[in-house]
Amino acid sequence: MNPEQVEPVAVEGRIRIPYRWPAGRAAGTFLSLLAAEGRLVGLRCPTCRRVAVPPTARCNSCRAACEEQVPVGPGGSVTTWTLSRRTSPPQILALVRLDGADTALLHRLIGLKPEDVRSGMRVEAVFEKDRRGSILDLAGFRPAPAEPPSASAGKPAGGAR
Amino acid sequence: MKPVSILGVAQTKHCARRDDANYMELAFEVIQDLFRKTGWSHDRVDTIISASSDFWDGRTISEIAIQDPAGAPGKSASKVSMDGAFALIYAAARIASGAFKTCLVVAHGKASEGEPRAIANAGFDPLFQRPIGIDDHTALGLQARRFLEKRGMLGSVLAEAAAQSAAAAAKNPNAHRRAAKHVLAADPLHEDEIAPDSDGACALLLGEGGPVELAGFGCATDAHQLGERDLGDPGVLPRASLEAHRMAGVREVDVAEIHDASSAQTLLWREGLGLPERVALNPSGGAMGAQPGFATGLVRVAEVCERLARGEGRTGLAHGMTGFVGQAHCVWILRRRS
Repeated sequence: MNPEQVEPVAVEGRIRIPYRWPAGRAAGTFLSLLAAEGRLVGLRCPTCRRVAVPPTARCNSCRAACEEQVPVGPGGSVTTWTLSRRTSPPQILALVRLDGADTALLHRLIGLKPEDVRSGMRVEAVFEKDRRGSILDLAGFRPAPAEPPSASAGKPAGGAR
Repeated sequence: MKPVSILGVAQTKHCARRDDANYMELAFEVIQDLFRKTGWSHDRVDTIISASSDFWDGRTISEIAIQDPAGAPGKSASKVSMDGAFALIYAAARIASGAFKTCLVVAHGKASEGEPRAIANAGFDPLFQRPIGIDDHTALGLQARRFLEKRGMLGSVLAEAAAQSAAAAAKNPNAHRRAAKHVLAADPLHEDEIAPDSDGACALLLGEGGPVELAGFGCATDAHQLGERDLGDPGVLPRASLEAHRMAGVREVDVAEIHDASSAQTLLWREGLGLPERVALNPSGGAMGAQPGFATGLVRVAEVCERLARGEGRTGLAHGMTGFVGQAHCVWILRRRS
């Protein structure tokens, strides 16, 4: 048989492997408080004062160990957004800088149409009623009428770099 | 350290789907082409470094499958699970150290075997970003919007940059021919403003005495979480670029090939590299012309090498990228030996 004349054969497959990912201390605390109290917290760096959300055990800007917990949100502002068409209907994905944070959180915008989204717009967290310790305990962020409570709000993410 | 030069390069034609060859055969094809062009053979190669992604290939330690086509049995072979431009650091070090005389570097990408967006989604951390449904394209959308808004630019600049890349790619016989539409894909990016998912491979032979030398490199890594970075900035790219120029002792290059996963990146990385207008950027069409997974950065090196070897300039820059929207950059400076 001439190999050039053979129809290419492709074998279909799928890999499904269950994992169990311990969140670690910093992220685990964040997810526990989110689930138990519907509260958002960041960790403040003792050296450069940067507040990271999601929190990290070490400051990604200056590498100092971070332990000081600070409340953030539930309000924030959109720093950038896009539309994911992998789902139907499409989802609005956004980076939201929570009030009191220096980094932005990736999440979904809900309760508004893509044509009404603007970078810089004020949003607030919407919590699920049944929470189980996942970032999806946050249903997303919806438009909020209130003005930023502090002068620092509205800055782009990536602050103390 | 011994000087390291490129003895030869080869790349496949890149396309949407190569059902006629599995990825081992794709690697074999490009290695055979390299040997044909250089007159070298497997038995004269001392060591092999490859770049591949287990996730894209759908198997763990996927490089074990390309060790046979690479002629690795009995030799020292290793793998980098990053773009081929990063694998080149490992390969160059093997020559520079004097431990090996010749090194085969091979990288492949076969986007058609899996679902690129689903694979990209799984590349994000499982706690905070993956559950949100982000993938490589939506990350590019977030970056493109921030880039435009930070500079007060209109979306039309993305279309113009994409059109320039497409015009260059149309003259490149190896480029991925596609009929991308101007429809929104990851706002504000349209389908034709995002680099294609390609099947293809690239191979280089490193050693001493070739026409083009690897004069310097630099690489830098940024935070993984998208919200830790200002996506409208070139991030750590200027640091990688500075390091490469310093090592090479080169101030300005004549030609540059960069990995631009979107037309916003064509503009943003040009800015981050500080390339003046006179420098020819992506004469091959860049990654916007073909994006064969981890071979994409190595193809940039191959393109620059061939241009310098033909006398189109004396120095050139090649850029590779790993991670999402520029988390890690690798910059090479190449110089023609005269």
